[in-house]
Amino acid sequence: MKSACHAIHRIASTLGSCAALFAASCDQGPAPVAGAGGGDQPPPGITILTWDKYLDPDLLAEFERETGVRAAYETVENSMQFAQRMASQPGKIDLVVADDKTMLDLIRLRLVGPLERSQVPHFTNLDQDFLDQYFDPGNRYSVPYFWGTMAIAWRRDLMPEPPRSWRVLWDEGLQGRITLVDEAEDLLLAMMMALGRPPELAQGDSIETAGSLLAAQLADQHAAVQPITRGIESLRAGTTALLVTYNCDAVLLASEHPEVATFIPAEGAPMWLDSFAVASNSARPAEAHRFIDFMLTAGAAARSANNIRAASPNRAALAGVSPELRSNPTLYPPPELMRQCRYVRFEGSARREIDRALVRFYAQLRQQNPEPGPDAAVGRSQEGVARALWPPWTASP
Amino acid sequence: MVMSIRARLQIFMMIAGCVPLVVVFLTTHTLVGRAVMDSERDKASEIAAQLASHVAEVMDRAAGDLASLRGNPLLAGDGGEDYSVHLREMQRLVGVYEAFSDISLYSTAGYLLVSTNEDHPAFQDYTTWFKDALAGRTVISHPQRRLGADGLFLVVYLPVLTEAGEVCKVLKARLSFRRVMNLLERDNPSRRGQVVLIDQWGNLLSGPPGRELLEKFDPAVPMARWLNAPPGEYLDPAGRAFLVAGEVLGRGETKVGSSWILLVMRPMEEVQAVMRDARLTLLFAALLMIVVAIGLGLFLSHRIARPIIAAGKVVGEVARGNLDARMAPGGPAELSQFTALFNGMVEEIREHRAGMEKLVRRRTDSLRRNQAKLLRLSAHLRAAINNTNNGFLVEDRDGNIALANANFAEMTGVPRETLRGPAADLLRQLFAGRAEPAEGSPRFWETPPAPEEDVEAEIQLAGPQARILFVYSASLSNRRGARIGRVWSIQDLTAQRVLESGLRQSQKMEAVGQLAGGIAHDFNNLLTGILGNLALVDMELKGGGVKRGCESLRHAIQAGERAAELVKQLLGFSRRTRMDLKPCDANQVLNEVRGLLGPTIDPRIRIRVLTADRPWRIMADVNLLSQVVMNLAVNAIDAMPRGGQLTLRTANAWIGPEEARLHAEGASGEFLRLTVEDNGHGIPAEIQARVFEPFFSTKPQGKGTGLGLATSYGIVRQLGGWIALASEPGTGTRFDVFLPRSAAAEAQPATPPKPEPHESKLARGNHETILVVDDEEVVRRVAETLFAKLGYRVLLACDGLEALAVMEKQGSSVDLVLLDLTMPNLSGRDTFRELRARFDYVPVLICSGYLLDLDEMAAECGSRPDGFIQKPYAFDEMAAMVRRVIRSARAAA
Repeated sequence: MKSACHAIHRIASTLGSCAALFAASCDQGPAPVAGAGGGDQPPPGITILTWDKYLDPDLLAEFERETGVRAAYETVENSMQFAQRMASQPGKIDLVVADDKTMLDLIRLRLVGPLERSQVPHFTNLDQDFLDQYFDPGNRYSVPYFWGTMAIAWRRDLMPEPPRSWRVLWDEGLQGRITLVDEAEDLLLAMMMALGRPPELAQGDSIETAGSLLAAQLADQHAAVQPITRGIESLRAGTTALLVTYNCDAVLLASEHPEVATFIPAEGAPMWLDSFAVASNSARPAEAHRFIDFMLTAGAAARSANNIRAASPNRAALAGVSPELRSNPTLYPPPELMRQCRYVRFEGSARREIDRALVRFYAQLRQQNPEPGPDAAVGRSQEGVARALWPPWTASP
Repeated sequence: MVMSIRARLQIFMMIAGCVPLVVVFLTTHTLVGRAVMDSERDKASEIAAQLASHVAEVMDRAAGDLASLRGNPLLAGDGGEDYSVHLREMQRLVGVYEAFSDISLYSTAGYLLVSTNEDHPAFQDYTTWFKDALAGRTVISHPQRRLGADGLFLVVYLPVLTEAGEVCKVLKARLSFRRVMNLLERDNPSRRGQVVLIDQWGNLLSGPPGRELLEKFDPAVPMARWLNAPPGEYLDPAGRAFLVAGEVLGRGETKVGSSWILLVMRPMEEVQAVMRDARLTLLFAALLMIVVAIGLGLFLSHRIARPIIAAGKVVGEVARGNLDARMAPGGPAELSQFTALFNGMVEEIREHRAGMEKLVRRRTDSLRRNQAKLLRLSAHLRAAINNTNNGFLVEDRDGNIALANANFAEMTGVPRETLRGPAADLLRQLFAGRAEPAEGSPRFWETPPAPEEDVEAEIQLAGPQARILFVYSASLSNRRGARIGRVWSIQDLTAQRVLESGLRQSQKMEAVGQLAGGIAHDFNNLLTGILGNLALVDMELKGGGVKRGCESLRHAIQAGERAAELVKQLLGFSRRTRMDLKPCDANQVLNEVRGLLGPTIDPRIRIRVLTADRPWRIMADVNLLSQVVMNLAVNAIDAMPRGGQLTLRTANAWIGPEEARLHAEGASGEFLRLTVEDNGHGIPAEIQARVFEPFFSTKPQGKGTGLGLATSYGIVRQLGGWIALASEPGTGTRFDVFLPRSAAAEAQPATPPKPEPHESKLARGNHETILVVDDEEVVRRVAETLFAKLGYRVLLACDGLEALAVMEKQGSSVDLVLLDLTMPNLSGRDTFRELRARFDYVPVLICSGYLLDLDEMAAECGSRPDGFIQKPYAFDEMAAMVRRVIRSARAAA
């Protein structure tokens, strides 16, 4: 179930329009261990903040056996929670595992501190391809944990074999049988890739075109936008034939259902990278570094990759990753496809264009499903933008 | 170094001047430093207090402003889907309260309802502050950064209440922290000073320009240092020194739930500049005082020291021997008294010295004479030591070498110049690892002798100058008996030992020659017996006297057996074969000897045997006893070259204590006496004492071994008896052999003489096949004839290779192999190994002229032969052995 919660943070990080999602995710996962204000005394051992089921419990136990340091973890349901919980409870969290976009925010808010590289000797196990990324040049703060892309999962028994392209989303034969994961920014990027326009060069008109395309696709194809758990359920039940989601979730579903197949479109897909970082107000920075180093050892990283079923950026661990996962092109895409995938983060004017495109997108969604739930309004500006942001999926389950 | 009075006075004056100066200087220095510190701390405290009140004021005002909003009906109202009313009210509030940069409204579920700011990042609030606000409290957050904006912000969480007093929404207003930062910058204590505000985790809230907010102020400094906030020095990471005063703002003052620390930092350079002026003034005063003190010291020392220096000069004159020098009178009272006393004393010394000089002259003359005498004596001694043949070394009382002569250096092979230092070290160096002491000699160089101990040792020196040395050492004492040293004397025995060794070698050669001659003599005797008797047989048979021929033949066989016995003894010579003691009748022995000798000796010699009627029985090895009698008889015969009478006699003798004392080995008791007597030329008295010595012989070279009497003597001693000799030159010689009577032997019958071998009584074969392997044709023929007569089939082989070839062809029919050991081509042992490897069913009987230990051979060849018989063999023994081996092999099969 990690995958579900893991994906949820992306929805939330994109736009705050996720009221019902929280209700859904809170129903499924355990409540956070400690939300209320902490005392001055830090608890014994270290506390890690990350998504649910994103750390292997056996490895935590082994770390405690090896070092005598207890490693507990608290969970977030979406990435917004990282910054808020760390700011309002300084000293309570020692370590975070967050995605690339969130990590950039945490660094800018000074909620994570510089990494003492000398205390992380196994850093050299990491593949250079996953270091020195846009959110942390030189990896002064963060250490990569897992990586992945967006991907497509489909039912062999419900549709003919599709072309390996985003163009499948416009296949008229699939009207009303497509579900998109509720991750608007990544969907927008996918649209740009489908149009053959590099997202990193996005200008106002291309963003607008992509936004319109996404909105039009929703309208013409009667596609559904659903939180990841619901999307997965739909595909499993056969009420939808094709699902756009994250590659690790797609692979997990394919391993459980014989009729589900997966691929990454040939035009490429947006990438994500989750990393460790030490909280700037941690009372136990040495132990936190030690935990990171422990997770970087080839053995621990390989076990993580096998048990969590995600792609590891740890080069030394790849030998220990099960051949079945290693050979799965949706999890470890071949090099020519890898060249098409990239991280995207919008800044400055492009950022504002994207926000505006997303506002229009959600307005579109709202028109398609005019049934807002209670407490679901989200304000954007005094111009009443908030009113435009009724997410269609907020109807109570 | 001794200082002059003047110098001491000057130093004293300087110290007297400087000590108060230093005390004053240090005190003032400390006071100035403390005053500056206090002033800085006061300033910091003042600023901190001001700041605290400013902050509190800001916070209070904000809280107060917001308090009126708690019950604002416009905000509390339920907007349903439309929050435009709320938004307008919030925009109005932002306009009114300039402290707020924006205001947002959240539902109790934490979702953003409406905000005055389009870029508000939090669409849902998960903070603990929000939860506290839901509980009805107004909360202020820690200062925090905001994405897309500079500086820090505080967030105020305000619960909005319904008319019933319940929380229905939460208002979140953000305040810029800029106002607090402005306060701090305004109150900077100096131009280059800094005011720094950090939170309780060390994060920078406001501080030196160029630093990022919310970074750690100085991660290297533990927080406890700031929380305790003592004024003091602080080195920043760039190495600049600051004087720091701190003030902690508690939670109550910050109102944000955490403590802040205010640090007022002033560069040490500024602080030090203040102190520098005071120090310069002090330094000037100090220099002035030192100059005054030196001047005063010079003046005083001059006044006091001048008369003392003058007196010192006169004392110097006297000390140099000028006893006419006198101090000038006058000066202060103390000095006048001193002058009178001193002058009187010099006068006395002058008189005393004249007397002393006379005495010294007399003593000096006497000493000179004694010294000359000693030198002469010493020269004699030295010459004596240097001219002696021995190496000579004397060590003094401390163990150091006092003297060593050239011979010592030459014998030990070291240069004479190196003979110095501790004698023990030298001896160790000379002998350790190079000398080997003779048996019983001490290793004196390893453990030096005790002071009173003498050393006598013979050592062998290895190396290019190999020598044998005799070392003697003794302690030296003076006339009063006190130890004054030790003398070492070394004598070179090398040449002497070489001579001795040559002598020994020549003696050994002589002994070997005598032994060879003796053996030849004994063998000649026996061969005489054999050949003589065989000649008789020949004669008798030609004359037709078959009976007498058979008798001679038997004598020849007996002589042959004795020869075999002798060879057995020779072979067993080194092994000291065990005696085969049995009850023995001495009369039989004498008769046997007579039988052996009778036909072969010079006919001019008559043999007379006088036997006791009932001789006492003794325990003896008959063969050995025969040998004794034979040896004595042969000697007697040799003593009668022109014929005479040889008497052999037995008698019982009771030996009393007196008679026993006549002989060195004698004892009292009952003895059997065996006497061998001749009337030959006798033994000269001077050599009688030596006749029992080994290798002593009076016979010409090649006629005797010199072992005969020695062996006899040894045998008799082993039997518990002795031999007495009585001889007179020209008259004859008599040997008496005394052997103790044995009660055990009396109880048993005497060993019967060996049965004479008769072919008819030999153990016969049953047509079995025997393979005889021997390189000697004579031996093969004897064996072939014997076995054929005994009823065996016989195969022959002249060596091991042929034997194996025969076995290959007819192996299955062979019942026994009789194998010689010493053969050409393939040795007996190798042949035996091959036989065992290839035909292990055939028993092998070894037949050799050498003594053989079957166990040794089994260990050597890995298998044990089935039997051994020594050459020459008796036919009956061989027949019985062959029969036994074949029978046991069959039984085993």
